[in-house]
Amino acid sequence: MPSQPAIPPLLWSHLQPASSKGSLGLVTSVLGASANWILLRQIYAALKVPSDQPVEATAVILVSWLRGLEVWKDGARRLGLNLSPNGGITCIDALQSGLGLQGDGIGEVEEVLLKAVDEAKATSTRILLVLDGIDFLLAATEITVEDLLDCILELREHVHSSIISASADYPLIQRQHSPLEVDHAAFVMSIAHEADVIWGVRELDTGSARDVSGVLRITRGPAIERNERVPGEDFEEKELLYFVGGDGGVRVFERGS
Amino acid sequence: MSFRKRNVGLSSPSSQSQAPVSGTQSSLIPGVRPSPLDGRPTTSTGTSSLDDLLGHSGFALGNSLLVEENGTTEFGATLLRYFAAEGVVQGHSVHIVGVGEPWGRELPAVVKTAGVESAKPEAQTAAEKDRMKIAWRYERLGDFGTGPSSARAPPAVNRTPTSAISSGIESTAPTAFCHTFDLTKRLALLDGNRLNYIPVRPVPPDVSPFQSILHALREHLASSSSSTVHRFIIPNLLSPALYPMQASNPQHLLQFLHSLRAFLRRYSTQLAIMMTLPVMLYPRSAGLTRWIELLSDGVMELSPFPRSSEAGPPMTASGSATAQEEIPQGIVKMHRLPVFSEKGGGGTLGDDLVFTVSRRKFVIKPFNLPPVEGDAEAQRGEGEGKPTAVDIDF
Repeated sequence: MPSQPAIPPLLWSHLQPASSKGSLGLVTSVLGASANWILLRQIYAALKVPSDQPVEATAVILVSWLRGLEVWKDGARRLGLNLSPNGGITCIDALQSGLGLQGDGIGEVEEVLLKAVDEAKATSTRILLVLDGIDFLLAATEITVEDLLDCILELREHVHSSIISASADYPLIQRQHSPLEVDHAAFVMSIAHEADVIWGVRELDTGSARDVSGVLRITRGPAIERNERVPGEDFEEKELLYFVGGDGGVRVFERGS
Repeated sequence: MSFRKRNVGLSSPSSQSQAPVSGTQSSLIPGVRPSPLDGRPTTSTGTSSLDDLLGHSGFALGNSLLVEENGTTEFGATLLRYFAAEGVVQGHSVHIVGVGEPWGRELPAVVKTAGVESAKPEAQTAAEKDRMKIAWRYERLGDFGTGPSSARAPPAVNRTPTSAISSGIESTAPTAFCHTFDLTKRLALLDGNRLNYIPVRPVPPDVSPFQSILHALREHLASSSSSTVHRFIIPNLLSPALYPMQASNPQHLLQFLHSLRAFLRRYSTQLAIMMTLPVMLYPRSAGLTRWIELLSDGVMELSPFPRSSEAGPPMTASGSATAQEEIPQGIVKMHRLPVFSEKGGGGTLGDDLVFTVSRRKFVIKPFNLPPVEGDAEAQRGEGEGKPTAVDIDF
């Protein structure tokens, strides 16, 4: 039904390295530019591998701390994805369950997610773990940056690849006055140094425009060189504009086009 | 042939009423109507220009709106009072946190003959009927694309008291979506629609003061029927006058807002939250404020102009009393819109908007610089040009 393809053509080549073994993708967003649409398209790319590639089907585990399931279901439906274990996606609604907020904190997170990973392994060994808004735990609980990074490292050992989304607003990254700000910056920087690909969305620098929602910057992370993972040959760092319509359809285009 | 048939289909709904979508359950609940964009239930903030700004020609239920205010003025509180008063008038369940009964006694009264959109008399001029047939459903869709700019005139006309007076119809029709309120009069609270005040209870320094608030809200939501709409109002969040010191501890505060967000999503057809935050005390450059914003669905910032009433005359030296009402009193910035921003949209958020508060309305509209003083021609052009510009745009 959507007139444009589910994945804008300009994005395809950049979605490939994110699906190699052990890779980590970081998606950053700001207040006025949400990154859900990128996460959904990355999930789509992981699930709908072109049939000429001899790889096993991927199972996705999506954990979201800031957004309800409805938003994800709504967005997935538009892409033709079925947001259920049958459709290859296990969803953990950490907004309703308050995962990690009470009791054991980070231990609970690790336990619940490892259990979900084990269950998903019944259907596929190739698992993509998507942690949306896990930086919230850092701000709202006593969990330390080290605990959180340890937990993520542990989880990454059990899955094929992972994607983490976090806020990169100026007050959270640059200011670094309060413990909250210092911790947030430390966490996002650490993940960025571990990442293979960094996807940053932000508002248009030059003010608002009716036909542009924001700017997407795709950057090679340090881990690509370190791990000698060869990204797709046509992978190049890029800054693109995008537009998300009121119906959820997405257009990605170069500046000036 | 088929073209003719379609024409018949089109004309029938407009002759019955202006209810955007008929037959859905949500249209039966007073003060709730489906969004013209995607049919999700929306309610009114009590401020029609703010409703239009929020993109679904209403405030989508299951969402929160954070109003940040610079300075020591109380414009945000006015918006909250409209929101509360609209809820009372519609028979919604209205909960107010932290403040006592005096706050509720200040709610503005409904202008008696206001805002009847559907109870128009049959005896309309042919021209008006024609206009409605073609445009009644597109007007609102147009609003979404163009933001708060021009195309608002036709629905606004329907809401103004004068049109209702001329029609001679009482405003008691239950289908009115957004009422007009008079800030100088007080809303009479009947027993049936008493406001529910949730106090901030004193707690030991290491306990979250928000626990009891959450508990109260949870009980109210769980014990009410699924057709009750709840409006949850938090005036001056974190203000030291209302909250103990530990309220601004990120762990207490952010977990509270996170739980509210969970409530909003669980009761997505029943609950709407509006709160104000004094950004003088909690500046937007701070990480904590940014997290408060990230946990809200809509974020708007009011920056009143730093001038008092005596500074008015220079701009409207030749203006009449009505022109004086149009003097903008501050800048409005939309940092985030409910629903739209969560999908990833943006772009229309950064428009220059101003607000004007007068006795009967809180208007948010695009900002245009006034003509240079002494430029009589331009000033005259401004006064007359506005309605025509609207017409052309429409």
